[in-house]
Amino acid sequence: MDAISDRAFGESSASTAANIHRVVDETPSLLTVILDLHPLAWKSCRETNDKIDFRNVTASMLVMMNSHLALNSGNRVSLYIANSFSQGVKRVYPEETSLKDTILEKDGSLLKSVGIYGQFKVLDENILDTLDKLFHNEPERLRDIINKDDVFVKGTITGAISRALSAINKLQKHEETLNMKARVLVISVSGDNTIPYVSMMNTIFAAQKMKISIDVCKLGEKSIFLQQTADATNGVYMDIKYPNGLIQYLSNAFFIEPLLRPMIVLPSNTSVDFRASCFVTNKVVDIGYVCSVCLCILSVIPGDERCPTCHSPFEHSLVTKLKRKPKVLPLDVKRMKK
Amino acid sequence: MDIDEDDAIVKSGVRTRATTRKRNRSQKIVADDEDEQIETGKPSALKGAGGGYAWEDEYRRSWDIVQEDASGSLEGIVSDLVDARKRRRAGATVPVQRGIIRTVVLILDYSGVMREKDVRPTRGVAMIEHAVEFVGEFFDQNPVSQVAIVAMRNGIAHIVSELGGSPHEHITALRQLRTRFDPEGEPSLQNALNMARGVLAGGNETATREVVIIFGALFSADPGNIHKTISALVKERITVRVIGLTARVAVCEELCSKTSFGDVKSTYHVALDENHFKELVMECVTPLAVTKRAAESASGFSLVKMGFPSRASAEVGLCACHSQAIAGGYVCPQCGSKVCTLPTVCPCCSLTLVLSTHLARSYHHLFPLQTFDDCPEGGICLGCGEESGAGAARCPQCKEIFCVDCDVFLHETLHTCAGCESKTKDTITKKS
Repeated sequence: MDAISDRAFGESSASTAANIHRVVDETPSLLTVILDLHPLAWKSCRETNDKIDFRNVTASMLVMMNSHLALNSGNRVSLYIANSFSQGVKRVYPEETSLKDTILEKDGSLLKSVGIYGQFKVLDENILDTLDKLFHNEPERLRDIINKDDVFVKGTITGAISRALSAINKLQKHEETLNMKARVLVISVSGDNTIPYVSMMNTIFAAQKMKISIDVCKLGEKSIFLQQTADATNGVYMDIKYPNGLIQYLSNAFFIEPLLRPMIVLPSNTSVDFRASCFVTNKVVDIGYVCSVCLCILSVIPGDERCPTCHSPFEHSLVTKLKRKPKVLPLDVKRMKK
Repeated sequence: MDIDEDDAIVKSGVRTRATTRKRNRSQKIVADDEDEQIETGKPSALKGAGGGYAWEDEYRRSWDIVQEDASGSLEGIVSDLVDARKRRRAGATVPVQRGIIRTVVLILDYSGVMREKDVRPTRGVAMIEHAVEFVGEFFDQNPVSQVAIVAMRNGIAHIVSELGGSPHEHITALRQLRTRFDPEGEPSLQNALNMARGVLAGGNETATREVVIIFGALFSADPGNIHKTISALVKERITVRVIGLTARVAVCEELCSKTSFGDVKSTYHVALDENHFKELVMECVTPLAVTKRAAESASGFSLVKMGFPSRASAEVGLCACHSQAIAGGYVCPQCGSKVCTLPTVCPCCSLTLVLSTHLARSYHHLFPLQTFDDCPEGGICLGCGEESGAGAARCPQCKEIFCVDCDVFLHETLHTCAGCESKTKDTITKKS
């Protein structure tokens, strides 16, 4: 009797140890890619660096998503496009339920798909079809936007991240996908001026709370907000210097699971810009004044002693206290005191 | 408030089948209603369903009451829950001015009564666990605020941790309190309040001054007249909130009503059960709204000087705050001393050091997400792309539909409407 129970105990403990190992290694994970399609940003990107090619970016992205699927049979991918056309953010894969029939009616596939793994085929076809349609559906609008010089188009990257996070939140509540790990990769081309500040910060904190890393693959100009996003959520931020080799970046730096990141030397970004910018003068400040009502940052005390953002008056005595310069006592006074 | 006790019990009865999150909600509503009943003070408000007082009713176990409807589903009950959830959130979406920069003294009752086991494992242990969670959540949501912790034990007040902005220090101090001391003796409200006054007197002038008391006893052993202390608190503009564990005590009632500065909502609550206790503690995380009277009497709002430090080089060096060798860290822009964590007050020149992202973390208190409208017909949820089912909601601005889970997620975690952010219609504007 003892022998039996002992054996059973020994076995179970050994197997749990092995299980823990397996759980760490093989929990399936979800990779959510957000592709920024801001038309003006793409335009300026192409103007400054003609090596950036949308086809290349899409192809590299597809390779990365396919390889993520290949890594583990339980792995999932999803793709959102932060589109600034009339549709806004759109989930491309898995496709939105209402769009299913419209995609299926397309007969000629854009893909040469002999001997391709089934899941890759579904994924790639879906994505390529949707992107293709998107550009064909709205050429006038696109032309309108691009040809005018003085327009500003709001970016929808925060919307895309918000939707991705809510989908992940839902997924992690389902019973069969309870342990699903998730991370978000943003392929961005647009600069900070297209990103709404408050909602960007809200998404950062939500991701932080959910312990989801947001990686940023940045083509074109630098973005302070996205840098802070990656820093706060333990993600990787990289400015892509050689867009030709995008696939290399994606499959090296961005392909590593957050779980493995502590063990691997990652491309670090030590120079994250944490300084704040003044709400009035837009100067970058390291010592500033903060309104206690709306938390706006000021580099100078406004002359009328009112907050320029929320118009609440400041306490006069406090302002004079802050304005007071340090006093230097004249020499003779100091001596007298001694 | 003439609430049907039966209805309240049915709602609480649903708990057994609903998910934990929803369960907490329904309980909260019930709890609030009962609270209000008592607060109104009308004898009729205390009447139970049977016409007698609520406590004269026969006790009904929650699992006896769960009733499936004719088709055997719980749909009706689920929609009740959703309504309850809505009711709870309705008040929270009007943008109000709040004191974002806060100093809070958390006073813990650590007297003999905290050894009672009506809350598992004991009141004292549960209270410290909630306090640890409170501290973590508090600094998460109020990054530029400070906390001190005081314990009432053996008739005197002990400082558990000094006023500071580092959650880690407070949590270690709380854990030490739990392992090194046992709850003992009598609590003294007056001593604790006086100590809180002392702590708050040295704090930042521009910050709000708050005291949160977790009070398990029904008595207080005071050395003098507590009413004098209360008037001193009023004079010093200190707001006091009390969370009782046993029953309402007149002196706490007076303490709260006098120090609420014209705020209509009572700041005195008594925990009904473990979950409610935890919710009451967590409620104190949200900054208090600036009351009308306070806004009128103040001559203006404050402007705070803050430093936005840069990251120090990766070389190992001693930090000014703990004298520990660390790699990295941040450098105070005013005096150049090195600190290891943010946000903090520079130990050298006492400049408040924050990151701009810390300030941004408080924005959702200032710009809350509006409540979504009910959308009984349902549809495809924009957040998760699934059929929304019962209890769908529609954003009044972008008209997108969200399911219950996504709706809750947007309002409680994200604070941004995914639909509005995704829209680009009419966003092509001339460059300014």
